[in-house]
Amino acid sequence: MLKASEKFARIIIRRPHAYEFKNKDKSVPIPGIVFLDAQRKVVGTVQPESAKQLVEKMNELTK
Amino acid sequence: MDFPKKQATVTAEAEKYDEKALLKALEKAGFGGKVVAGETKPEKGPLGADTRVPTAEEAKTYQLGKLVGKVQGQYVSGVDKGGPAEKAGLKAGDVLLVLDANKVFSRDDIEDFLRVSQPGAQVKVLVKRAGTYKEETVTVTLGANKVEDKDKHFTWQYAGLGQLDDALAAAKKDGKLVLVGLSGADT
Repeated sequence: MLKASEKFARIIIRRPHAYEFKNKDKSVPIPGIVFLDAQRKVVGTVQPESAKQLVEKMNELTK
Repeated sequence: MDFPKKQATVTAEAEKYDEKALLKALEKAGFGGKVVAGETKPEKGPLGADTRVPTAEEAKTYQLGKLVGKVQGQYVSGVDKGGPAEKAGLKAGDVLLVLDANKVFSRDDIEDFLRVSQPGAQVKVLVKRAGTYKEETVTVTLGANKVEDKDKHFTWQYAGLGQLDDALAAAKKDGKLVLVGLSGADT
């Protein structure tokens, strides 16, 4: 069901759903890449400049 | 080989096929061929419903919620006769609010959800009913047709937060982190 690299399971959440996520975790950026552990704890974030860059960065990370 | 005598629809881009030759080949193979230029859409989708964005008046009448300016819900403009939606009791004028745990703000949300759903899956659909405007949950058993992936780059794009639980479960099982992209791009 999920496309996953060796290190990550990955998922993109778009506007407006991304803002639901941010409502629960105010510190995350939009656009942003968020690393979650299996307990849904935020362990890191990266802020790309655009949605396009977000996709490119995620592709790089999951190669 | 004994081919069934039935209609076949062949998808091809207009400039890339010789219609006569293709029809001849189909006839030889036992099909009554019909060639259609461009992409075809399945007659009955996995949900079996046509939807659109609710009008401002409908949003008011149905008291639909909003998130960052986007109205929640997709107005059902029609259902396929005998299709999954009709079988579940959905009808034109209903507004789809949530598919399983995924809130619906656009047709893309529905398509994304269906793309990662299995044919025959049972989906709980929260709907506001035509006429009464009351919320009800119905269960739709999805049909067999899959939604075509229009953009291969986004095969891992999901409808909403409901799918995050699946990602977390997968990560837990495989000992991985979940990489979540929060896109500011509109649906």
